[in-house]
Amino acid sequence: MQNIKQNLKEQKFRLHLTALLLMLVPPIPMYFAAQAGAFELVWVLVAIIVLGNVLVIIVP
Amino acid sequence: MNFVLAFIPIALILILMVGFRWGAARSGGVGYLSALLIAILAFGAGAGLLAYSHTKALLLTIDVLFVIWAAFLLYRVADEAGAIKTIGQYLPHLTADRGMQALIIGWVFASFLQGVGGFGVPVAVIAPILVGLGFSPLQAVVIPSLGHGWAVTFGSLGSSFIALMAATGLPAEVLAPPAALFLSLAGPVTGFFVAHAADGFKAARRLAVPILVLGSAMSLTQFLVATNGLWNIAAFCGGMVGLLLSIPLARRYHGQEVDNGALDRRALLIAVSGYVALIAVTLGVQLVPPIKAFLGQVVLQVDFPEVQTALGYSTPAGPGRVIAPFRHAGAILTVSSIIAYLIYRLAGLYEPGAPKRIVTGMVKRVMSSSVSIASMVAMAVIMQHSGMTDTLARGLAVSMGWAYPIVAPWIGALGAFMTGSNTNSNVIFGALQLRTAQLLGFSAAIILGAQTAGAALASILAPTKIVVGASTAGMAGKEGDVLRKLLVYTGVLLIFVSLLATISVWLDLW
Repeated sequence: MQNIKQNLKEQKFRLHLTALLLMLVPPIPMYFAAQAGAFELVWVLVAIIVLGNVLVIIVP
Repeated sequence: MNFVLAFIPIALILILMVGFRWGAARSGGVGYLSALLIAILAFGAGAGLLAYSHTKALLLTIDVLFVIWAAFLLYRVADEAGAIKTIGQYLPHLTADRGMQALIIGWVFASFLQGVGGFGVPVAVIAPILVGLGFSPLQAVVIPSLGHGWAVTFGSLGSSFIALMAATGLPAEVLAPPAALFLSLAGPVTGFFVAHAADGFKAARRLAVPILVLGSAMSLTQFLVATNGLWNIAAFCGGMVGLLLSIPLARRYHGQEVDNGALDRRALLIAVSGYVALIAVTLGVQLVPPIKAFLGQVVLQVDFPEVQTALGYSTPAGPGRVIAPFRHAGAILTVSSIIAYLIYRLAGLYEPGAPKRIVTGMVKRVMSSSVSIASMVAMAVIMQHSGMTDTLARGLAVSMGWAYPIVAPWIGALGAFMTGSNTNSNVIFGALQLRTAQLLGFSAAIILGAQTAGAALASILAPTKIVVGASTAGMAGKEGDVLRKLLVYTGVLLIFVSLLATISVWLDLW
């Protein structure tokens, strides 16, 4: 557990960068998906943003 | 019940940051997830609403991050060249009076640094200088913390103010006057607090004249610049005027041992030139109509349809945040950074490998705050579109009533304390304060001015800033001492802003 925490700390910058991309990229296709009425795709994209936020939370 | 549910994301951020000492990024993630869940399950937010909310949040995030990244780029360009150090080292040689040293470095120079950099930079840069001058580590952290608070909203090239405009949709012409007035009046008060923190009541009394002269000049400059369309350089100009006035004042209050040192005018001029470039570019873009019009031709704008929750709360159709990328404060900062880099490079101030260090230093420093802003902006927009903000506002309006102007700055302060930033506080509470003001019939400009003024002054209490200051002053682990010391001063400043907001409402100033 301690090792995992240490690894996450060491990779903090990369994980934050990944999380930021997961939060900022999906809203673009999300807009077009909503315009086209493809709401299933919207939920998938929301899930990706959620993943980005979960990633931020687990980095100590 | 809905009020309690709507409050959960904010409460979670508060509990995690204050109680569990989590960073803003992690807490923001939890806040976002809880807001999303509550919006879907309790407030009836559907896929369409969430899609458009996230897209609007993206535009707002880009708007704020562009400034933050570019502001820190300029700071890194100057810091890597040793320009910040040169300016900082010159100042102590002006006077041997400890109170004056604290005022010039911990108040005037801190305000100047807040104007150009922000993000905890004033405390991080100044605390070690003060320790070197013989101040105790506790004083070294407390003095610059107190000294820069009044310059936060219009500092960092206006990033907090941009966030307030973005979160509320109100223009600078409406928001700037009360915010600038409250903060400008708080400016001289912080000067007295800095003198008191440095050498007790005696110093505050003895240095009353320079405090009033410097405070009036810096405050008036910030107010005039902010209310005349140049809000992004208002704190910077205030700090600059303060620095220029400090020289004659320091000579007058030079203490017992006069040591002006050997002044390398060339080094000082080169160090300052990067920031002169910033003023020139900003004035050129803002005040020359053809340039302003030309750069404003390209805009990033997305139209959004009306969205409604299952409970019937609707957000009307309209454009999201309109961004003019080439006229943006971030673009001005980026161009200024390039000019500053070229000046410093021609002067031979950079060691080999400097560009790489500048960029990596900037990216590493801003990544964590970028993530927290992305999470919190998305949280705030979802709360707004799902009716959660409206529910909170109605609850506050019912419970506070006529006393709301007194409470408004404390809400801003709460946001700044829990998120570590005036910007984040404005993002989270901007829309809430606007809605509450509308419901109660108060001037939105005054309430939002109180919001950002309270947030700016209380941002100095943010655990993240205190940790940075304590670590650079060599008192890591004793952050509680700093917090206790700052609490009293900040409490007085917040009461002062509450009074100003209440008087403004009574007098119907805006």
